[in-house]
Amino acid sequence: MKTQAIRYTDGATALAGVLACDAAASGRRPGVLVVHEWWGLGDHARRRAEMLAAEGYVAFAADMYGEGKVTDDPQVASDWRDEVIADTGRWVRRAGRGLEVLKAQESVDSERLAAIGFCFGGATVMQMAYAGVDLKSVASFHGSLPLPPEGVAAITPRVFAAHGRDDAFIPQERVLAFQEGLDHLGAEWQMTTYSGTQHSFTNPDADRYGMENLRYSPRADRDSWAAMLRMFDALFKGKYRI
Amino acid sequence: MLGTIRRTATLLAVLATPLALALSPLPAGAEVKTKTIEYKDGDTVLTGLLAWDDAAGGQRPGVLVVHEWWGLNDYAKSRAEKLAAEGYVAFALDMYGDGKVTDHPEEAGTWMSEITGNIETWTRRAQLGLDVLKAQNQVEADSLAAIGYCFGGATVMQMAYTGADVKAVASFHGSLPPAPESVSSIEPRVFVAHGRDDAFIPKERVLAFQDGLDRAKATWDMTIYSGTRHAFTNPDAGVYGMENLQYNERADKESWAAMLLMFEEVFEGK
Repeated sequence: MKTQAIRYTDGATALAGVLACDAAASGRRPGVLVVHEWWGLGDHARRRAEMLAAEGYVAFAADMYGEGKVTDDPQVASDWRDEVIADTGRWVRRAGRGLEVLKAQESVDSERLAAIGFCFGGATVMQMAYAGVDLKSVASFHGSLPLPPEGVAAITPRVFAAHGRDDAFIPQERVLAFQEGLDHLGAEWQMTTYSGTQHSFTNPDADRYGMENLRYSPRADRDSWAAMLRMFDALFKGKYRI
Repeated sequence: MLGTIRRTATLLAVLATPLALALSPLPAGAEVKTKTIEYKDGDTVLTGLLAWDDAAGGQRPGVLVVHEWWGLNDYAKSRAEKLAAEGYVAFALDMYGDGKVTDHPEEAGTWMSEITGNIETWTRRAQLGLDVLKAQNQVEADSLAAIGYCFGGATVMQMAYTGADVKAVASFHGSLPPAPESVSSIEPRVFVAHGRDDAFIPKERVLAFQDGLDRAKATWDMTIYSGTRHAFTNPDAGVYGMENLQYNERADKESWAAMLLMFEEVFEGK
């Protein structure tokens, strides 16, 4: 396992992501972009990139905020997030800069790319899908489930969504509208809802932030991660993991 | 424990049908055996199929398999065999009796309604199948689950609602009966796989079902698969000539794998 910090830019903004791959593997492998929660690029997203690398993918944990911008203060996090999402075009462009870094790696098969994201990152990968970014799949974990922007008629990536039933940030109406939006786009999608599960359920540190709606769920984390890997295996390796 | 059985068993799988061989090869190493077991509900003679891995020793968790509305046909039996190959002892029960199997929707609908029309008959008959499974020597009597397809999916939900002694239930393209108001708790873990385009199940039904599980504080997860209709796990779905019945390989394989993972969690504490 090899990890490596990679600096890149989006206009005047300096960004720093983390590439993870299995150094012992050879040949071109599918690449997976990992988009962090609203806190910025911290341990959680980095760990996910490493977990993907252990499964034979080349993973790049992108930086959506700027080098070193990581916080555990919800107010700061939401300010940074709002800055990025204020303009959807800019939002998708910044995510796309991370994807370019991934694509440029010699170890990556640029025909086999996916993007996964957590919380704000889940919304980010959905925006990438809506914007027509060249991805085979996107996976949203406790994402905010944004609806398709006006004018989007179809999307090609397969959509995977894992959702906590008790995520107080996401009203039930939003879940239903999200699913209907995907239907209208003719998307291939699957969505799993986990009972008794709140926001940030994949993050073992979720409870430490002191927010009522943030809680780690070993069950939902394990099951959703395994389901995502099965989907990637089916899509990228042409086999079902059973 | 099951992982160990899978790793150490050495003999080749025995397969019941060429169809199962073509679509879903069993893991190498298992030696799946089956036998029919007759049992009774009053005067009705029921005939189920027990499947187990003969290369494995010791007591294993038992899984009840409840068939679609067609009756206990080769499809439900093939699922019991697949479970056996995974290290479980599986019993494909018979909800109709007297050899009743059909491929005519009207006949199937009549038989199903005869059972579902009376909730006591319905759950009693399911329980009788569970009793057969529980009584097997190789079954760990306190490690039981029930899975079902279509009508069978509704059946295992009724078992959960009425307090059947199972640790988990799994419903595949089931009709999602909402928990009655009187149900205040649901012990078994609930797994649900649902086709987004299943025309038999209105969206309101899905929501009422989920609300019922929440009210009864069940631990549940439900996956919805886009572009997926009823009977999506049954490779023969297309031969019945019904518009809403269609096999879907993605939803089938994905939901089966997710169910196996849940069983690992429930039975092996992983």
